Amino acid sequence: MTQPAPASPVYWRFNPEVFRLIGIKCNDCGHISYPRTKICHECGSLNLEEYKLAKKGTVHTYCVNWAPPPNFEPPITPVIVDLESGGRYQGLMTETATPEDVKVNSKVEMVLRKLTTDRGLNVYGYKFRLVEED
Amino acid sequence: MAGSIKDRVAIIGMGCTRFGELWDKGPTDLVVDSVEEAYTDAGIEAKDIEALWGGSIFTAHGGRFFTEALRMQYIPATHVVNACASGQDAIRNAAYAVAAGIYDIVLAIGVEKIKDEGMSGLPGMDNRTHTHAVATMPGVFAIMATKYFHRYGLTPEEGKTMLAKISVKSHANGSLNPKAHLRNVLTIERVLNAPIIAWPLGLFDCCGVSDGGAAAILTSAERAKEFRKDPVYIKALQICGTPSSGRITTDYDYTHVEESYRAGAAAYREAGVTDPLKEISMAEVHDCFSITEAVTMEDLQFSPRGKVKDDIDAGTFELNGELPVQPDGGLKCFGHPIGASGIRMVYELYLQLQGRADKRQIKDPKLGLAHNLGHEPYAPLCSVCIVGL
Repeated sequence: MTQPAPASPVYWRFNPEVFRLIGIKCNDCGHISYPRTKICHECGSLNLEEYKLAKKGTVHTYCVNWAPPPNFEPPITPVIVDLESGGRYQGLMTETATPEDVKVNSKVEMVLRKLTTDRGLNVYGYKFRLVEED
Repeated sequence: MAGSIKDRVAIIGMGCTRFGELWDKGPTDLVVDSVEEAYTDAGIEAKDIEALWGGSIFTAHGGRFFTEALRMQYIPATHVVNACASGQDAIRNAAYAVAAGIYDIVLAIGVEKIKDEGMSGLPGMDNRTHTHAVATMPGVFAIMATKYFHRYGLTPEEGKTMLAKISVKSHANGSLNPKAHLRNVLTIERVLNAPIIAWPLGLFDCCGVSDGGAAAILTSAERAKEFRKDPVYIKALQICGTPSSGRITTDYDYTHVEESYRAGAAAYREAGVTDPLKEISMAEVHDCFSITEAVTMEDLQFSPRGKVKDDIDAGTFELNGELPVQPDGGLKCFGHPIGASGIRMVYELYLQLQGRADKRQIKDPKLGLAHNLGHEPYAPLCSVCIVGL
């Protein structure tokens, strides 16, 4: 699927979600969803409010991708992170010495990074780095 | 639900091209070659077809593609686009139209000319922006393998060996099939030592990338024996859509596919199957990656949760095992020309049920199951089709 150019309206529309980490919380059942939904996944309610996610979480699972999507240099380490606030984030690791440093249940935190360059424009977003256990 | 498709519609003819890097074949060739084989098999002509449904993701754009290729004269034609289940959904729509009594003889086709798309693998379909562009198809299934190994206490070596046995089994079957793309016999060592695509998955954990076409001719159960003595009857056709829960909630475990489980359970109810491992004679499942087949064995209730390794080690799913899986070689050896795959699976079940599967013939099969899983494991659309005599 061809991606929209980095300056296109879809990026502007996704700004709250991508940069301010706005998900939704259901006012009826309390369920937290990220990315945002219009209808609560758990109970079907439309009575939802914006909910800011935490930047820390735990690696649910991951892989080490040696054949990444266009505009990414291999290897990349995609992670599925369960955030401390609730909500699940699909992103990339950064600042690892080797991909093998990442494990299921590793503690991670988000940092703002350049993700890639596309059609001459930089694309920014969050990546995860390992944090020391408390 | 008010109704069931069981024993109301029969398949009276099928065709399937050889799958592969068919540089000398265009999309029209794949459609015509598979459909002509189906006409001959059913003993009918093009003018007998009253309506058609064609499954394709990249190759077709509207029903016109199919009527134009086949020079069909002004009949109703519908393009079915439903991810990896497009082929099976074409059969489903065609079967429902016959069951409704609208048409007597209809055609379901699936085709994909992947090698014209300039891709060396299927693209991630979920990459709306770069921030989500961490997904390639090998990547999103690899994260399942990581979690499955972790949850069930398999070391990476144990897990990868379990998966290697799946690919070795499928290639053993595919080596016997003249229509398969990849016909080489593998060893566990070769699978384990192959280059990594998305760790823990290596090259031979991934299915091929191939062109292909397949077709089925359907009629009512009442008329089926006018065309052949051994029609194959549809016992169940189920599709399970997804709320995409795995993407947005922390509940999803990445070690099963709820939509496969539910499509399977609904199909077993429709077909009257109560003990899948005993009653299903053979299965063609969506082995886009080795881990997908492993998890699907559990989702379709062939193996208990977390226990598929025991059945793989016991040879349960090998050609001479209790429940042969991918008797034709599967996506592993046929690749995945998306629209064609679902009908290619049913083609193998059809041949097996009629005793026409040559060196791959399973002894006296009664019921065959075909399963597709579209999109990603956390937000898939799954189909299950059961056919029998």
